[in-house]
Amino acid sequence: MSSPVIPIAVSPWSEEPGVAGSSGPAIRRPAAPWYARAHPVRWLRWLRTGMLTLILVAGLLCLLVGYQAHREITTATGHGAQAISEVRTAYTELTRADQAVASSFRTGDVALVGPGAIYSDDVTAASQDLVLAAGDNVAGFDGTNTIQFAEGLLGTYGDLIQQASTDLAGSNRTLALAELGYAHDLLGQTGGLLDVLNGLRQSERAAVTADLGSRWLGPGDFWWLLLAPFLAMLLLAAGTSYVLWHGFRRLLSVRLTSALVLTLALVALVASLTVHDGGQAKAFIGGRLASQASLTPAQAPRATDVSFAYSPWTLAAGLVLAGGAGILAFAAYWPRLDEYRYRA
Amino acid sequence: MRGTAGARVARAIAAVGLAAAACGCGGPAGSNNVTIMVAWSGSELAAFESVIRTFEDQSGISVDVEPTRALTQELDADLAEGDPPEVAALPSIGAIGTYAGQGELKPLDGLVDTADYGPPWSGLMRTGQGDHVYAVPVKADVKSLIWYDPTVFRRSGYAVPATWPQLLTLSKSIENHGGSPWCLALSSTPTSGWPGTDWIADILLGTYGPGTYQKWVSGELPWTSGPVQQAWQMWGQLVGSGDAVYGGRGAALRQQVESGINPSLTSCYLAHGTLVDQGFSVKTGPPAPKFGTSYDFFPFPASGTAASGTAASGTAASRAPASGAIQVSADFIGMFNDTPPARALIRYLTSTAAQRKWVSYPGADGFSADNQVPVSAYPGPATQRIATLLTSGQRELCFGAADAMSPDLNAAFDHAILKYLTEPAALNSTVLPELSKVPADSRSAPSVCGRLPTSPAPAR
Repeated sequence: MSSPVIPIAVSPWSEEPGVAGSSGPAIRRPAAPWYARAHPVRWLRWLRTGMLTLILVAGLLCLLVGYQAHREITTATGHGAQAISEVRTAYTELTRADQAVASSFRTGDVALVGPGAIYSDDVTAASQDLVLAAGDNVAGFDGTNTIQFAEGLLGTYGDLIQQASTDLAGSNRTLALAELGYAHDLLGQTGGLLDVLNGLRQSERAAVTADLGSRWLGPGDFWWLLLAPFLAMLLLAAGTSYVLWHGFRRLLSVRLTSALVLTLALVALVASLTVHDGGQAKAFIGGRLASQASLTPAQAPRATDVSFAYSPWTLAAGLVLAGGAGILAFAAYWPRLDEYRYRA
Repeated sequence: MRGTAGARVARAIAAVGLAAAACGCGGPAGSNNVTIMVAWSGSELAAFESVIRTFEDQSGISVDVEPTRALTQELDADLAEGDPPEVAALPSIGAIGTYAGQGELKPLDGLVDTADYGPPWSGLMRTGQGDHVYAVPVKADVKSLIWYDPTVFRRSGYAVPATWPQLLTLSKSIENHGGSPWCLALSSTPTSGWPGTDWIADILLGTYGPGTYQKWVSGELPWTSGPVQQAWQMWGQLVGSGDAVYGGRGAALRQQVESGINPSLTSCYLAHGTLVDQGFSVKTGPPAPKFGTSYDFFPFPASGTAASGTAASGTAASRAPASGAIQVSADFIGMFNDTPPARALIRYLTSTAAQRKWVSYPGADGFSADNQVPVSAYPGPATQRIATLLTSGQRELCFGAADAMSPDLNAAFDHAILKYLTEPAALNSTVLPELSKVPADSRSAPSVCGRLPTSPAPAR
């Protein structure tokens, strides 16, 4: 006498067996989709690869954001602030030079000593400041062109003063005074050299403002960038929990959860440091611009230590956090995958 | 058809990539902007900008106009950085030759209908390497004009001179009556002195004719030669005495050219130069200057040549046909960056329609070298009479000497004017010998003189 047939509980991953003892063929049902037919091991391997990839992506994105923020800050607080200072100083020097040479002509000293030491020193210093400004220029092509143009006008100004001195030495006072007037016009008229320097300073300032308003320093613009890998990791973690529950009646993996926490910590660290650095840089620039009247470009500090998001300590901490998350994520999948290796 | 998951993912990535490429996300979009650098200001700039607005509306191309007082310097700075404007308006043939020789100016062959330009413009457009067109005149002017107030002349009993000796006599007569005959302004940083160069050119042209003028401009006739010396001395006779210039010669050195005749023609009686340099259009009065009543002009008189017809007191001799050559100038546009928007802009600015719009702008005080632009396109009798001088073919046109010289020689010429005015005795000892030391352009100079046909082609 045969024993009764007891239907076996059907797992989504197993084919439905035929009824034992029946003389008919096995019940044919439509084939399950590929993801339902895939073995749990395969799923775990995919999920592990995805998780590790996303940790790597999160780490690289944090590195990218930190680097870009550092670059913007360095450009603005280093070169940009210096360029503004140099142009402003050149402006002051040229104004002083013009006054000095006019005084020299008025008193007649120019006939004995030429335009004078104050004029010569200030014009030379202004020329040097323009050269420095060219190196620190952050206003792009326009800034470079304007600096070159200013240097050309400065050369013409110097030539006119020199010509005036020569004509005065040749006793042509009328022509000398006219040329002094032409030089003064070149400096002070609408569109003259001082106007050009003013415009240049505004351009450099606008470039610095743009750098400090960059999206790399704006929390709203890159939060989604940094959080996207983490959110994807959450999805993969949910998928992992589903596989573990159905295969092993387990829900939470402590190691996987820890990996998520470390990744989130890395993102939070970089984002908060970047925002902090942006604020510090803006404060630095504000202070520099306010104090420029009293500081020469050589005296003014360069803000090389404003950026923390890309500092060696932050990079080391990031490496530890990302590395730790990767190790924990790998270790979270290992026991289950190891089980199936021995079963096979 | 079923495939592996990896193959499906790969196909999806490829589809996204193709879509991105199709939308052009990966590459830079073509620019629809063009920058043009000009040296105009005031009413000249306003007229130009009105023409540009029409171009922008018609073409959809955005034009960035960069006005500057130091065009050559700013252009040189931009060229040194490799970032010049696409187009620039150049007032000097010498500068065109220099830039074309350096390969900075791009040929405009095929872009412009050169048949619309007669001599000397057709030759000047080919200044540079080979037989290419490098620049096209878009704004011309007549320099050989002397301005006066007809009412003052009538009241004072002065006659409009038709010859150089008559002009000299008039000038002395005004001085003898306690007046200052000449309004003279020479300050125009960084090219102060340039109005004086036009004086020398007009005197030499009127005294010796286009042939000698051409030789002088090309460097064949030295600065220390007899004709050139005489031209300077004749100018000295006119403006050199103490009261000949209003305010004195020293004041003339500091009088700004850009402010127009300052003071008006009632304080000084005569002024030399183009219409736009006199600034009548920007003076609003009261009362506003009125052509024919408060200001009028006569062409620069040739030395010893009498115009046909007798000039009555207070009337102009210019209505009588004359054969003397006149000095002209022009701003030429050239292309430094060959881009489609730059070509479109040049094509438009040199079109007869744009030229008509430009010259008809009230207060533009500019003229066209395009022989298809009729005299009737000009607003008002002053511009129409000057346009007739420019286009009728009755007078030979000679391009301004200083603007045809190399930039270095041009600058030296400007300075020599200032030196001569303040030290007339130094002409032969210092001024002219120093000019002789400045090397002339070694390239063959274009022909700067030419005469249009006396029957211009009918307007389109």
